[in-house]
Amino acid sequence: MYAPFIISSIVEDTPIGEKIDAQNVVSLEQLLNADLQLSAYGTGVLGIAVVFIGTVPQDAIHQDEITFDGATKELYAQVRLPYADLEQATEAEVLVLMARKYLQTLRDLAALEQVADFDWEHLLQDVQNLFVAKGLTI
Amino acid sequence: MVTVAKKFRPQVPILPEPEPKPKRGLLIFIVLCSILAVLATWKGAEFLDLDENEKLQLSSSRQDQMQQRLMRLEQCEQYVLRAKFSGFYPCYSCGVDTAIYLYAGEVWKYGITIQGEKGRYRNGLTSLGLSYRVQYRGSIQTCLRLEALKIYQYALLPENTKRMPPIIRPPGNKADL
Repeated sequence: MYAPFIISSIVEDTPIGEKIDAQNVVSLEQLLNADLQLSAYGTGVLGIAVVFIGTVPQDAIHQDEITFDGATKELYAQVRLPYADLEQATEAEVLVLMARKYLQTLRDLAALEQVADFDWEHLLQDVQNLFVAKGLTI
Repeated sequence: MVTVAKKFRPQVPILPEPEPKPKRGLLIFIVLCSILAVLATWKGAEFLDLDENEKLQLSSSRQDQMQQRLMRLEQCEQYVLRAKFSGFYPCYSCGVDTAIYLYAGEVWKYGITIQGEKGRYRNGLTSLGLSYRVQYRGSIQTCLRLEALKIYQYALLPENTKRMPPIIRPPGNKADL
């Protein structure tokens, strides 16, 4: 991974896709990497990649998944954003949706992945505080 | 020599050769072995079955697998990977150069994927800083056709023609197809 916090997306060539990947993916990734040091939470995780799926619900190819590579200590999560909400939301509201989903994903990762030497609780708290400070929570 | 042979005739009477008995035991053994071998092979071939007319057919699980595979080939996706940030990215079509500078949003690769096939694009998303956009969904034939069209026509895109020299195909595509 080229940065500790990676955000990416899988979207269609539609206005909904545009709302996700035109600005928001990069904004969220830059925000996390600028304000948080992943190494401060332990040595158990060296990278967290979250890929937001913003495709139509009929899409059978891209599914939610969470994996941890013990060799590289990198977490990979592919998570679907609620399509009906994406349709209604503005680009700024989509960023809030992504932030909310990101927090939920971290909680899921913390529950699923028993990683040694990593302070999930502390990371969760800091990410939540960061999103609140940036107005990214409802 | 002839005299000696006549003088010392063999004492043991020469019996007529007995008629060869049919090797029934051996025959039965071979037949049994063959039946067992066929049965063993048959049991191992769980992908085959007999229908009501005793004709060979694919087993129901194998038929399901085939249908799923055919269905997956109808659920294909042609995608484009674009640079998320401006910067250097690996280039497989740049001659001696192994990297190319891409501006955010420029094409790195065209590809296709089908349901159940993971990971070919995933590495780019996480390690290179790319984003994934679906450009078409449908049969694999159409996906392959569109992928080929886009790879060839990439050379004509303004983002490529402004380069000196332009490259023949997208930086992330190692071959035309």
